Amino acid sequence: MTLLEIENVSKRFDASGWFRRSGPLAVNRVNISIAAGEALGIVGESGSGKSTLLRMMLRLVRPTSGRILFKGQDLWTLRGGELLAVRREIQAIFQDPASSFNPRQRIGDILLAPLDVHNIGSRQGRGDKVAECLIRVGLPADFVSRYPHQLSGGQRQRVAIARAIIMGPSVILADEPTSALDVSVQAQILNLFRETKRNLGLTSVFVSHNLGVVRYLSDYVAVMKQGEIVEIGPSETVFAAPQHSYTRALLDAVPDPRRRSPLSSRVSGEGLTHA
Amino acid sequence: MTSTVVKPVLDIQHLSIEFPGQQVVRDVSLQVRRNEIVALIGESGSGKTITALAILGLLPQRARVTEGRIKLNQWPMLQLSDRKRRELLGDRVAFIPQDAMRALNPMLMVGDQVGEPVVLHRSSSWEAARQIAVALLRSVQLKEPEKRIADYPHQFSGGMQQRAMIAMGLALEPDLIIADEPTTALDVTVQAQVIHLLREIRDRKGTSILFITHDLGLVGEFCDRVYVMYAGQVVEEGSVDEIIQNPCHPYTAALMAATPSAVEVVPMLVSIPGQIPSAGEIQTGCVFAPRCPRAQSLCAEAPLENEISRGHRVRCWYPGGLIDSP
Repeated sequence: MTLLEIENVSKRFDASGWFRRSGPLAVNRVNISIAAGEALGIVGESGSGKSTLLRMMLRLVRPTSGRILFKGQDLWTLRGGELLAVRREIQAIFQDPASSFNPRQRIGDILLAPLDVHNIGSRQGRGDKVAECLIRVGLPADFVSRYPHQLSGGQRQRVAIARAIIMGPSVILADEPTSALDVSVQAQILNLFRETKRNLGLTSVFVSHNLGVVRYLSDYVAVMKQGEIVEIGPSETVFAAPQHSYTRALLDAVPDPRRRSPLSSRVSGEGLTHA
Repeated sequence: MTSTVVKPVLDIQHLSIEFPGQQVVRDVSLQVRRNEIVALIGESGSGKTITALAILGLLPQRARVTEGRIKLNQWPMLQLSDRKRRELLGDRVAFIPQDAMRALNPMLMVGDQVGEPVVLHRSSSWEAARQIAVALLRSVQLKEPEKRIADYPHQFSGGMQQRAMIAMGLALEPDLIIADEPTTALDVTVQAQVIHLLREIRDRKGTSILFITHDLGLVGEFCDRVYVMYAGQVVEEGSVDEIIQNPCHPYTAALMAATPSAVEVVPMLVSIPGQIPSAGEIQTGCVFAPRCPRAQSLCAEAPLENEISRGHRVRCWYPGGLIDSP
């Protein structure tokens, strides 16, 4: 069953100011359909439009043209109660929870806020739910009384995951969820993400510039370049046998300790780009 | 090149550095030989950047070197007068920082910044320095350097800024380049070019490079030898081939097992439980013991260095191969 459908979506950011010009297309006629339970990874370099695409799915950025459908409903025509209901189902995790949490709120309040907004459960029930979610992401329940700055980066990202799942969503959208973390902690969060997704039967879309992370988390992968999807397919096919020359160039450029051919034999100094 | 005794270009012995109340670097010894690219790998708080700053004499004011010595060629870097140090910085040792945008002066033209070392150290005229800047920028494969020298940093892309920093570092043909995560802010394809460039410089001029990074992939593909730092200590050192094929410190092994790969299928990443200790909480004994799957009672005592094979040393009571289970 298709859960999220991206239909011919484009986004142009217009320059403002005296000489109003239209900017280039940040996202250019993208079509993706995401089935329930699937994990889609979107990779690309900076400026490829991957984050803009994700923000459109989050209804944070309005597409210039095209539609984004959740269970067949256009995200941008929904109003009132219908919209609120869809918002419960689509939750987000961002790169750096240090900047996406209110530094003056305790972890407990941060987790309670969405329950309050959506008026879910009794007062007592909400408290229990917060504790349950903290434990589910591997944090002690007494973290409710701590402030974000008292937590390490990995712990904060666990709280971000807790905040996302507390609503009982069907989709989680994540933008570079582990880029701010050290490798030893990143692995914990990636494993937690995979496990949570499996246990709760979630559909997920996440954006990353790190191809290893995307390969680890995704069933399907879309490769973006300059606003367009240049290649999309099952993760293992795309990584094992990339068809598009850009995908191949990206993969060749990734340094990997497990690979023994030197980087310089795969990439020439001039070779790749636009730098 | 012709010297008969192989003396390292950089020789750090038993370096310890303290912030008030916290030890951030403990007993670090490290050598970089001529023509060698040496990696200093570690996660945040491992002390890798502080070690680099100590070499340059650029430690923050509250930091204090409590022990050890640093020699760059014949110069004792910790005992130098400010004047002598300024003579050496840029000339014999160059520093390439992570964030080129912040390192470049936004008010000055790129060409003048790249050529400035020649004016300061070689008493060249600004006119001549500009010509040298053009040649330097060309050598880092910047297109149309004659035009670009009049640009300001914001007119450069991230990759171009980093190339300009490298060009500046090369201006006086230093013996040693210290590069602190020079590609972390760059896209992978641009990173590959910068790495390629640094390697070419080494091959062409025999420059030694101390490469500070958190990326095992870069270590594997770019460096000759590696020092692995954790919580202020070097826990393992050796040739890159040796360390990657046979990591003997449980931290090095865990780092390998925790790194996702774009190149092969990794069924399950083995994560390291717990967190990196913050500088204040480092206690006695093995620094990795609280997170270590092999920890025993003996680990409450600080481990001595073990030599696994020639040049491959590890600071662990129970060194061994890859970890099987988390």
